[in-house]
Amino acid sequence: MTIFADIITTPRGCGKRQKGGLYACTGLSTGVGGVPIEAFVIDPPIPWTSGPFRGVQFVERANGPVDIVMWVGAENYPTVPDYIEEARQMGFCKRIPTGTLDEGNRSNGVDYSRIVPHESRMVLVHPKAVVHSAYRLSTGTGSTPNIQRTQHGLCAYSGRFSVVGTTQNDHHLTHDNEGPSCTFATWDLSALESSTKHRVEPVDSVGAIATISTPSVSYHASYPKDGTADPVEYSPGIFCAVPLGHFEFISATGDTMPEPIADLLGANFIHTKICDE
Amino acid sequence: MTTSHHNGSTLETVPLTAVEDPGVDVRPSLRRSIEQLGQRISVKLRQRTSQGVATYEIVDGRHRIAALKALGEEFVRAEVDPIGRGGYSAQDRAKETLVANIQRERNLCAEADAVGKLLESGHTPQTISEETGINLRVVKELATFKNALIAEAYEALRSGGLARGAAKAMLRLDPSRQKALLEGADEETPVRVADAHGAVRDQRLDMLDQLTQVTTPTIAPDHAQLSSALQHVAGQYVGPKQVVLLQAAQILLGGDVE
Repeated sequence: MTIFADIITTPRGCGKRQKGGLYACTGLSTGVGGVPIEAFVIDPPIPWTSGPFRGVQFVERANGPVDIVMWVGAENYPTVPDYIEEARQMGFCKRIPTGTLDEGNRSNGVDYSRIVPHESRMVLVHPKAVVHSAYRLSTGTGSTPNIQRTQHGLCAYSGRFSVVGTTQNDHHLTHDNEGPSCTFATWDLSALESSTKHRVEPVDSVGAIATISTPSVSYHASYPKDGTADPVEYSPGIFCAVPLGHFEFISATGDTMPEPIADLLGANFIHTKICDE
Repeated sequence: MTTSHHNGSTLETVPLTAVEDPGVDVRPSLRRSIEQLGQRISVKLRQRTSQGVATYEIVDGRHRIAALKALGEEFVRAEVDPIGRGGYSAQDRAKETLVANIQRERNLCAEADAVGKLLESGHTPQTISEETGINLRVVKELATFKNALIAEAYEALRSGGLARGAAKAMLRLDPSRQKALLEGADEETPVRVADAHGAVRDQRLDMLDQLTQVTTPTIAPDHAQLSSALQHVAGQYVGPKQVVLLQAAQILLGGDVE
């Protein structure tokens, strides 16, 4: 029996799910034994130097299952936290290619039968994950998620991380162009960017905290301090790796899946939820 | 018709109806550029006169002429060669085309420098594309040459010590790997495209190696925990609801339900 963790289907930063689309998903916690989303954020980010790409790339892990690498576009998610905060509230759900299925061909080399649910990972790359500029982050609190900072100039997510036993984040609140940047710094740095899909407004007259609104969610961040570059320069990086929980197929008929797509899934058909939206 | 002398040829404004059919498709980017900025570069024509009527063969500029015709223009600015006594063979024409193309070969670094200056002055790739008619992808690529190559590599590209193909592959390398590639090359053994691609492959393997070392917490559902939670909830009900919840708890533990 397969239990499908919840995926919220209201429109996301990338719009509504499409009929005929196949989606790789990691649902929200069922309320028992959940893991904070910060535990899946890779920090510092791993620089991605292979350029932007569409679809998925399969990566074999030595003595392990295959992972799938996917690109999160800045057109729909201008910053890293825009994506993570949406996933925090709605779960991870990324459309994956089904190839050209004309005449029953399995093309483009996609083969989702190699995925092992809960072991294979969705590895996510964002074009603005690695920070190259100088920044000075605030030591103040009040942002959401609550980034806990010690008095020693460290930004440590100790409260959350100690729960799941991951490594402590020991990156400084300041960055001077060189050395690894902190993925979590992109929360506060995102307060410096404004666009139609990433609206930034000060919470109050003091102007220390900003409310950031995306098409799907809103969250808070502390404005960075003087000494932060403007504009901030970024490059692509791997910022998140989360176990793939299951697949979802949005059926045009409501309850059926075309045979070629079932072929792509192989035995993972039983880990696929067929939905009507 | 305006005429001026230029190296034995004349610069003229020639009616397009007198010019032979260019026989090529219209390039959208060139059409856009001419539409926005006008014809900036003269074409080269050779004049023939028969029974007092002048017609023109195209030596160089077929695509510009095709674009002008598609835009409904009446005239083309052209460098017109004087009529040669010995005639003008197909071979002569081929040589002229070759020379003209070599002389106006793209200068990558000059173009990248120009894009860089426009970006610094507040333009975006989009506005550069809109104002020059150059394809947006090309503008972005030129900007990347300017921004992603380390200074030594860019200078090598400018001086001809680094081939365009190798430089393009090097765009995907981080600065330290670009530097290492250049240090391993000299005038006699310049960086080859294959070397750059090899470095890109190594870089990708290193990147993926880092990824495999990342520990990701497990989220596999703990069926026993879920079953226990369901049994707890079932205790709050009586009747059919309780039965269904207890059956679900049993299923989670892999048991059969009668």
